[in-house]
Amino acid sequence: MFDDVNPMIWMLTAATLLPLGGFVVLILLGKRMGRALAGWFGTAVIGTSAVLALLVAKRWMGLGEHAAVADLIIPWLQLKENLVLSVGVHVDGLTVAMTVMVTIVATMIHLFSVGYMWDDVRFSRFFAFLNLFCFSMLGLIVGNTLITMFVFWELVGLCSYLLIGFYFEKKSASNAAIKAFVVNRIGDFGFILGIAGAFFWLAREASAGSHGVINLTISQMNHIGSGLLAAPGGAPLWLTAIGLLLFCGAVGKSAQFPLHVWLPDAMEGPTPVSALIHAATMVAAGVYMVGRIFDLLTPQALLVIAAIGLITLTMAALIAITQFDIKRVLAYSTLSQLGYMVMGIGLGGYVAGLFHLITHAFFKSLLFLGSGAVIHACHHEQDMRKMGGLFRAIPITAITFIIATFAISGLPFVTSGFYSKDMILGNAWDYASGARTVHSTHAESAGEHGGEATAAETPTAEHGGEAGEGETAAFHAPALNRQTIGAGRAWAWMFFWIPLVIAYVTAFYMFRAVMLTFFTRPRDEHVFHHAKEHGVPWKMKIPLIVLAAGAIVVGFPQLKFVGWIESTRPAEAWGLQISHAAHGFLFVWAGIAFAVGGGLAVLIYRNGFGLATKIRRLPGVEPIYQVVYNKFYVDELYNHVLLKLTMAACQVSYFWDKWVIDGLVNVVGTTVRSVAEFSGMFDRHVIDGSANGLAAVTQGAGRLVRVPQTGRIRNYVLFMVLTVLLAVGVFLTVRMVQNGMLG
Amino acid sequence: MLLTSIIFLPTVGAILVLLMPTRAAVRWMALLFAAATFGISLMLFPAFIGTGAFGASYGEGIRHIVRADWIQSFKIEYYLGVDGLSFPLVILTTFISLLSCLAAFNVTKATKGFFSLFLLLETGMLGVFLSLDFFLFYIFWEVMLLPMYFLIGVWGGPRKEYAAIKFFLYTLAGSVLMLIVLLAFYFIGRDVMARPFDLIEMAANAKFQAAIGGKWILGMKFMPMAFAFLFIGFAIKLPAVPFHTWLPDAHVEAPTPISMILAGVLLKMGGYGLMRVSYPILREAAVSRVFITLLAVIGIVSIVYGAAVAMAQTDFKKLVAYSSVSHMGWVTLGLAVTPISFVAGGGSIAGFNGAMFQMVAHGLSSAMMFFLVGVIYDRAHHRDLNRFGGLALAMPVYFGLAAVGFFAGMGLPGTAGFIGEILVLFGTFDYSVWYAGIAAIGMILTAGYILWTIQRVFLGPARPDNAKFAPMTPREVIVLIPMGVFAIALGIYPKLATMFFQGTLENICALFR
Repeated sequence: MFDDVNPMIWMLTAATLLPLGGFVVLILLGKRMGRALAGWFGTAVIGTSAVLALLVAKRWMGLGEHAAVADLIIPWLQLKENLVLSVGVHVDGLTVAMTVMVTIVATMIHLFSVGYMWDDVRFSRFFAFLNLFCFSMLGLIVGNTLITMFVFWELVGLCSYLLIGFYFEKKSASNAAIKAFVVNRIGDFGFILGIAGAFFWLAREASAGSHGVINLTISQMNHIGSGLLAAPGGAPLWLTAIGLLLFCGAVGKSAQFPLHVWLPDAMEGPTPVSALIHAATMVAAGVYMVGRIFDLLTPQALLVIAAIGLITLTMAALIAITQFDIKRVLAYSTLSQLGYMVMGIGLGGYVAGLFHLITHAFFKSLLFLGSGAVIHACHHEQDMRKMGGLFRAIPITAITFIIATFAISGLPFVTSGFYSKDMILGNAWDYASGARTVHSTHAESAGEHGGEATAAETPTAEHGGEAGEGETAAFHAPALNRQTIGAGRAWAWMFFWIPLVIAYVTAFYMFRAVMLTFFTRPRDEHVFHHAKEHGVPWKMKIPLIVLAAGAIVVGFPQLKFVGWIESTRPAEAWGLQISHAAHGFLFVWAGIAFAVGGGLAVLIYRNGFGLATKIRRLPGVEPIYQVVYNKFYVDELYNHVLLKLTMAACQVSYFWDKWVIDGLVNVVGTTVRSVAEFSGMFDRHVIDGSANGLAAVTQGAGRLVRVPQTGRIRNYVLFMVLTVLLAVGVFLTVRMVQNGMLG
Repeated sequence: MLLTSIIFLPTVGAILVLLMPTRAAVRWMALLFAAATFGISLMLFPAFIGTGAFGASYGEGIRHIVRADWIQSFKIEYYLGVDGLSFPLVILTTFISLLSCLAAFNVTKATKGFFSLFLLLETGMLGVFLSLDFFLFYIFWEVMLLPMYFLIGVWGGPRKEYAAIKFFLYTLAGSVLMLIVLLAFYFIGRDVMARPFDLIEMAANAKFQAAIGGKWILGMKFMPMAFAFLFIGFAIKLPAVPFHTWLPDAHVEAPTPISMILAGVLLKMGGYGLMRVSYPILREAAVSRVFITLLAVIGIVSIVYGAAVAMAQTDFKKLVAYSSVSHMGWVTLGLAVTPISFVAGGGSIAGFNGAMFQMVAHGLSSAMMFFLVGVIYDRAHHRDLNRFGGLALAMPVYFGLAAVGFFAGMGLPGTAGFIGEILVLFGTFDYSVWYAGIAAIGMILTAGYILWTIQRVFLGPARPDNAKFAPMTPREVIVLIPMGVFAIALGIYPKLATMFFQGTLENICALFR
């Protein structure tokens, strides 16, 4: 089997390393290459990676969907005699799905950037950084140990820093870059400790009875973890601790509450960067990581994860309603969608969460690129208050943007977002209702839920053996031990109802953005005319069209994404099956969410801000509006309390260092000197005075000593060298004497 | 013979430099000798390649031994040798010396004296790393002290006298403590050992170990006292909080190449001393709960506190100096926790490996950072972080190289700094989760002050006073690139460094069994 899989490892490695080569070439020669060459070179590099990824995908499909995972392990750092931190590459269904998604989206965004960044003075550097990012992101995906993941995790953070701060002349941009990096480091603080914990403590479990070298890959870790979870006494407490510490990393990278504050500010970066890094790929890395460590997560850890996701998706969606900057609306929308993914995985919906990651990547990068095209056309105007009526000016952009809006709002059947979000909500329903019996409606769900990878073909889904046989045959669903906390309890319904309501809100804020941007009367003549005259160049249109197609089709099971993810599903996670009750319910309510949320937005904003302003004037609305508009004052809390406290602590430390520690040193020094001076005086006036007779002798000796002290450094040095030589000479002489060489 | 020539070749250079007629000749002669020393030190490599290079035990791993009686009445020897502990530091010394010699090409004041002292300093440093006789070690320790005193005191900045005296007295205080222990070792050892100054023999000789273990002096147990004295002596050099305040002053006043040497090599002598003298010989004290806790806490405080104080700086060079305090804290922490968990936990070597790696990594990144500060100081003639800004536009090449240096200093994965920190962190985790947790806070603060520094110096709009800054000269680029290349190479493939010292570190840990 390994022989079959091996070439895929090399192909993926090549796909990963190519953009690194692109980075090196562009950073060294970029300026000399000229704009056109640099841009197309960067695009071609990642395009080649995309081709390689697709070839791997084709090969993988040839092996059948459940081919064994292939690993390449390279020992990296030895920690103990039998414990080695390793780096390496692996291939499984999830890797394939992620690499295909990342390389395709990245290629489109490179192409878009050739048009979008054309006027920028640091054009080639932009492509160099984009290539570096692609390398880091692909490394993160193909890495097969947590430490490999961490290395690339930090590198994508570096690229994010470099690209957020790309317009570094602006203070706000460099501030946002620093904020992104440091907030992520706070998450990584937990992540690295979690890695250490996972490594040492799981190795302890693994080494019992084995004597070989242990270099825990992620799959080995999961294997040990699932063993611990299945133990009769329940999982040990430290496993919960590991899970939560690792999740800290995801909280930072995927911008979950309370570390979500960096992502909206990250919009300071150029818009293609927002699309690639801060919507489609890097921010989803946290979700990907949580998926990868699923079998290390205890029920307690899962509940915390779900709760964090729930808070994030709710808060962010509410803020999104109030924003006027088109990119900020999308940023908060991204936060909210990431919250859905995190909550989905936290509720055990491994497939649903990761599937939403893939579909979201397409439609959200499309939304961002669309906003980029709008901003480009509107002469760098991002404020929706100055837009309006742009449909007439840039129709292709408008149509693709609307398609993406349909996808994120979950227009039933024809958009990818519908399938993935539906699956998350379905899992939430089944969790909340405590449904243990799943109605196997496989023929139905194959069409509607992307259930191509049927349970019957799924060796890992060992509980669904008879699913494919009878359309209505009821069977006992997996007894999900991991979902014990809260399942079937009244409070667990909040994990269903709140996200469902937020689905309405999602449709609302997205249609609001669509209305304010593309419809209604133009509110700024200059902006409108600029858009009308300049339009959108073809280099930017093609990516929009390709991604719009993606936003529709990636949810379809024929494209295998969901099957690839399903093939890596841990046995204890929710799969594709959704209970019949949830299924019927969702079908209706999701459709209504789309219609009601979207319709309401169209209704309110059909004439611009008029009606919305009136609503704000209703009694009691304004204070709530202010709280939401100001993002619940979380930033203020951090800036005015946490940051100030930290800086104060640093100042106090310095004060302490300067005045207390060093002060003490100086006091000691001064005291010693005073004593010396006093004794010197004593020496001169008392002892010297009584020994006048010796004065002449002293003077003579003094003169002798003073001879070398001519005040010239050269002579000091010569003196020192001579001393050393003397020492060496003495040594040699003594030796020779001892050896009898001088007689 | 090889080791003798490595040590004394710079001394020969120091003399020849004085005879040179012109300033240019002085520089090139000094560079020639620095390069020759580096070249010869590379000849040590073959001894450490291949299996069994480090010997079956600590004592058997010494290579290129030179032994001769020196002062026979006290059984003092001229005893040199190199093993995995000293080898990387010797290479680091000759490497950094070569680069800082090139960095010193813009020194114009009393050039002869400068380069002569510089080469003498190199002799002192190499002698410390290569001596295996405690007395000889002590002599070289002192030899290193004087040139450094003059180099800071004569070629330094406005407060050079204060800084030089402070450096001198601090180090001297440490030396005195070391001298006390040295004498005590001698008086205990002369009855049970043929060579009472032999650092290797002291660690291996069971009789000597029994003697120092059972010795009481002035009503106090000798071993912990000796350990404490030596630790203070070496901690001053490291420097570990609270013995660190000489460092910011010395760095701020020292000329750029001397700062490079100071941070790149001199600080490592503290860590080396602990690993060569304290740990192998005073094992019982080293694994006592009191000292593990004390050293670990000092290490952690250095990491976090050093980073916090660095954050509060407005002087560019002082900031880098405090970052050294923070980075060297990892060395102390790594040393503190390793022997006990090595014995108890299946050969846990990460902490020692990390401490050693961190010394090499910090040697590269801090020398790089100090040189980067020097580059901009030469142009702006000030170091006030609040008066910089926009340099990325004015000097793009400088920005690129600085980014490598500063991210290496931050410990970003892919650079050497990451490996050192991660190894120590993992080693610490194996001993105590809480220690590891607190130490990791330092990683957040480090990211904070490094990025804030980059912002204040390089980012922001172009400033008119920057526009007239000359671009980087080829000489400056040549100084930076080798360090940058190694900082990245070691970060990607750490085995490049660990393969040359891990064997010896394991042998040292094995002494604790």
